[in-house]
Amino acid sequence: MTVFRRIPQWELLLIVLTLCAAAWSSNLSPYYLSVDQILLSTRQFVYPGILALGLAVVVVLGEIDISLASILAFGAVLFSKCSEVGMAIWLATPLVILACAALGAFNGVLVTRLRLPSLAVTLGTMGAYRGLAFIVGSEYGYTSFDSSYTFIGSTKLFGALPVSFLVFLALAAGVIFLMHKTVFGRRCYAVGNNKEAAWIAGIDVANLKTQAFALGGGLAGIASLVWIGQYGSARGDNADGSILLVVTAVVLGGIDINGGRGSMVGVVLALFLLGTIRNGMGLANMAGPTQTVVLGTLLIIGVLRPLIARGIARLRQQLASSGHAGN
Amino acid sequence: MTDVSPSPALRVEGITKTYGSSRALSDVSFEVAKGRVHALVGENGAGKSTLVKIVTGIIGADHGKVFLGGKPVRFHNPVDARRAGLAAVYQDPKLFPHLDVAENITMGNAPVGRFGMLDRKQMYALSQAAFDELGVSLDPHALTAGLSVAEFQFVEIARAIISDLQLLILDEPTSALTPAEVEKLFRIVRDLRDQGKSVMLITHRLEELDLIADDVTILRDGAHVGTYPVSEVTRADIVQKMVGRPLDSLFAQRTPGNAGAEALRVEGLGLAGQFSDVSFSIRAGEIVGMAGLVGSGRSEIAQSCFGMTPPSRGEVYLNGKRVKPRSPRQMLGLGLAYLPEDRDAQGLIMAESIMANVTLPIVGELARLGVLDTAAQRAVAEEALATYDVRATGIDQIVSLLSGGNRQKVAFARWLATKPSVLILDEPTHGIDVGSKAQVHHIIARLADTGLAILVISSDLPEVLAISDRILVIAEGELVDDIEAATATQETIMMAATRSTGETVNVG
Repeated sequence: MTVFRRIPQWELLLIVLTLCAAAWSSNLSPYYLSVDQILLSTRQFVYPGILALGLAVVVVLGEIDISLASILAFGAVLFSKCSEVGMAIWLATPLVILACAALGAFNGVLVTRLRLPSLAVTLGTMGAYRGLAFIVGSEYGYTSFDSSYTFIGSTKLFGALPVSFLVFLALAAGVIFLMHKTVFGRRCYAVGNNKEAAWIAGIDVANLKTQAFALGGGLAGIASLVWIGQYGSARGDNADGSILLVVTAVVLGGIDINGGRGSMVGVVLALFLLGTIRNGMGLANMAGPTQTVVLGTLLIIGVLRPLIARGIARLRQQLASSGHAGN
Repeated sequence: MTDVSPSPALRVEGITKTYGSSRALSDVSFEVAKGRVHALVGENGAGKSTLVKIVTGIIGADHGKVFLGGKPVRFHNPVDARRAGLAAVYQDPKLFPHLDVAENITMGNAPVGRFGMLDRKQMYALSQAAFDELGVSLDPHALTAGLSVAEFQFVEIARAIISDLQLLILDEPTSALTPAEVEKLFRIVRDLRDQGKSVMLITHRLEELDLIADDVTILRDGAHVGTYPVSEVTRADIVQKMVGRPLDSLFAQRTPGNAGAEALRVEGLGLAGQFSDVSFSIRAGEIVGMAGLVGSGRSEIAQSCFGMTPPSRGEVYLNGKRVKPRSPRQMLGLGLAYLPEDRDAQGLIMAESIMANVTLPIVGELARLGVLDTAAQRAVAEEALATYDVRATGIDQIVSLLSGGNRQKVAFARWLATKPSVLILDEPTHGIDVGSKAQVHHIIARLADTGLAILVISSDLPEVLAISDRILVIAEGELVDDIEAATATQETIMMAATRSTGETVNVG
């Protein structure tokens, strides 16, 4: 029992739900329960997963960035330009990440210096950055990437383990460490809880927020590297419509939409849950619109999470008081 | 004139309320007589607010009964209570700012004319009649957003008397009012009493008891200590019963130490529309009080020095060096800390732990290469808990679960962890109980003895006189007096604070 008590209840619930979803999936399709199938299915979740890691940091600060998928598209197109001119991948990668971080930072500057609501700012840049991606690239897209560019996104170790999945795990570990073990993370949570008190306590709130937006943008740059490997193409409409999945993962993971609360571990677990459900729905040949309805429902459940969590806590209390002899 | 009938206006019997494992009220029983002003006093956390919430139906009691005018009642919400003649007015009433005064007064009880339409004419007439009865000159057509805190309270009282009021509960009404406004409020309370209505007054200012109250009930740690006619108990008795120890250990007069070099000097400081041409200096080891009416610009001066609202003119010197205050971050780095008045909204992060709060400004210094050093943070927080005698279950307790006094100690600990040379305290004992107040005074004195220069902004004149070496008086954004505390009295300070305003007792 003591082991389970250490796991916060929401995270525990996410794990249980993931197992349920896996059981449901294996019931739907005989192909589900194979290691190869499951590992391969992680691929389609890597790029939204990386976007969710960045978004989670921004949401902890009490802001939101819905332009991240557009930044990904810009990054993909920028990679195509680098590939076109024959630039080495080790040079192109930091260049694209920096450019994407700059787009994120621009969001941050608009939000903090002009004191605009981040939802409005990033709704605007969501369109603007995608437009920029179309302008930089061509309408027909680019598909002749050099193989060095597609290595990360397309290689599978031992025939089944995608390298991109390992990249995601490494980034997730990095963001968990950043938010829970460093000064940066500590300050993010403080600002998300009460930005005025944090400012009076000597935290440069505007700077911190801009850094978080830049981090989100930079991660979107890495996500674009995964994208071009996985799909082999770059075009202005890349990853269009994926922001619903990204926001759902963050909120379902337990990050309070008002900022200041929730753990990064929860976000990663929510991604696994969503991945398992998506995989199952795909194997069951569920139609795309139906899948979107399921996602939207999960997003609302995520927003209702504090209520659900409270209900669970009450249930636990009752169980504990009625069945005390049980443990 | 007073109509004293046998059944009391309010009787509570055996009220008990527990939250989880802690007991907020245990077996509280007392009566509020008709046509009397009944004060309810006790330290923070004594259970006063919980009792009011139970009586008005905001929360339910675990055990016990409430009788109104002799009849047992159980209200489910404040609207029920209001219909039965019981209304409560809080320190900072929540009104609808975009509606006018009359709309607020008749909210939930609006006169309805033919076809179910609002009878607006009747609405304004009712409101005007209520103000006439109260002797308040407020325009029922005025927009609520522009009113002062005192006027908010008058609107709430008017709202209470338009229905058949039997008992009015005032929860710390005077803490945000100027002396003139307090005078006016008390006149209204006396009028209500003379009409045979009862008033229950919750207050931290014991000096108000002699002015207004007939009876006093004292609560301590959720238990009823006693109910007495005010004429039969001294203030010292009351304090002793509230805290369980004698008064003389509480308010110690300061014996000034040796002031050192000049730590903070301000010359010709000004901020458009807020204050102008303010000059003063504070030396190391000195406690300087800053008195003045609420709204005179005291907090604004402090916030300018701290970089929250950079001054538009004048100079600030910190430890002999000229600085241009730009942000709290910069000023904290230079050794000036400011404890804001609104502790819960600005001073602390309520949802976080004591440790997180205490270490927030220095978390960078306690880290290695940006990685948190949890052991160092715990050590700082443990030390703070012990040094400032914070009563908590441990450093991981969430700040919002602490009492006001203990929250203030956590806020103190946080600023002192930054090792400042100048400390500005804005109303450091506002809304905290007598026992914690004395502890805060001891902490301030001890800090000055270690060489800190301290500026204390306070509306509590006995406090300013007791703890300061020197007193600055601010009126309408100007420094009007700079006096030695030893030669000052409450009267001389009040004279100075009102001198340049010439404020008359006139609300509206």
